[in-house]
Amino acid sequence: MNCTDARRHLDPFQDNELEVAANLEVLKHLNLCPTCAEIFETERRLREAMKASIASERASENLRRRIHEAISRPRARRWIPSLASLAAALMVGTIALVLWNPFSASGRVEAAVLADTAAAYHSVLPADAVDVSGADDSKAMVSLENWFRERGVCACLHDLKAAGYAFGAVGIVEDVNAKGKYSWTLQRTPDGRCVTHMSVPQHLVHMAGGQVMSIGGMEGRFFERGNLKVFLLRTPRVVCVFVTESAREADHVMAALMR
Amino acid sequence: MADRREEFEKLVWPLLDSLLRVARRFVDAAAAEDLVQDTVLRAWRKMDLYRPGTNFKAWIFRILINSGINAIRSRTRHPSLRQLNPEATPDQEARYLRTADLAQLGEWVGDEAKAALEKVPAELKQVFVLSTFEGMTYREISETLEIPIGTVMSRLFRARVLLREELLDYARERGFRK
Repeated sequence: MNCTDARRHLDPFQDNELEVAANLEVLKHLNLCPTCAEIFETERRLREAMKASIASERASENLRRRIHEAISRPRARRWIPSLASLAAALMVGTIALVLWNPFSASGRVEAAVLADTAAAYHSVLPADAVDVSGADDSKAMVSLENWFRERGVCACLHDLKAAGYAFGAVGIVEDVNAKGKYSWTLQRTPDGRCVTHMSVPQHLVHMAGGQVMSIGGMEGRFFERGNLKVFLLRTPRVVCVFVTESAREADHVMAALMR
Repeated sequence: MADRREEFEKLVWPLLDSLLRVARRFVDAAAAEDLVQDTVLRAWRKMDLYRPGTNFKAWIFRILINSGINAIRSRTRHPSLRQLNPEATPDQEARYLRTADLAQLGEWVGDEAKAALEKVPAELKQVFVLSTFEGMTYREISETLEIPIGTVMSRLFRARVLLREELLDYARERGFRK
């Protein structure tokens, strides 16, 4: 083996990936050639120094705790009914359903968990959801704000009329730890496309995970939940969670929000 | 449920530092923690897709790389504009670091190399990090990234050439290499 061959084997030799015979050949060459021996030794020391330089990087206790808490929570039930059964559910008006509580007693809810919750409520309406389709369009926003205010919920409402949607239902998502009540709305197009929207005070949400995006200069996070596309938007006061039924729909809604 | 979670944690906890270190090579400290948390949650949710007895480490690192792929691609901080010279051959001694270079770089050589690594394109760096820092075999890296072993080897080779050249440039800038 000459110098060129030996150096060609430098990486697999250092990585212990050479066959025994080739390994012996390299060793034999290194015994005879001080230049190559120095190159190999320098490379070895460089690797050791690099490994040593990251040895102190460790997962913090806080990260371990966050992960432990997140995987200790039960998962949201996913039930994705057809739009027809969704309409039937709306006719009934209320459905008594207990969804698990994503808000830990102490702290904030993870964005990913909030995306799960919002996706679940896209399919299974909040227990007290009210059908508001057919309400007088011009007064819709004011009357909806009043509806939430009367129930002690500070709502963040986004009218997606510009994108062809009209309010179909409103409801309240209750945190079983009694920390709060959050607004939930459903808007849909005449051809049955559906967007639901939940808003949660910003300080209760840990914006992390998902695909990071910027919507009109505001921080957003995008998640896929089965067929549903969920995106969170951090506004100055609340985190808005929108659930749509396709990526195209999500783009459409984002464009409407920016207008 | 609790048993399942304990089993999962038994597999995950020993890998948490490694996941963080790999994530840290691509994004800053806070984003790396988020990326690792997201990875572990995804793994937990997909646990029914994991086949016991197969390589859990390769499986969870694949989730890390896949879930962080956008961040990883967009945040390689100062990608090197250096092109690999196709004429370069392994016998050119000038292209290797020597003992004197290491001595000049001194005790910070690891940090200098870590900084130089930031300039290596993400695709090459993934392979380098899994090999050099995580001690994965070429086969494990091939499983993790779902690429052929030949590709693992060529990416590693290119990553190491770029890294050496960055360090040699640094040595030249400092004036202890001509």
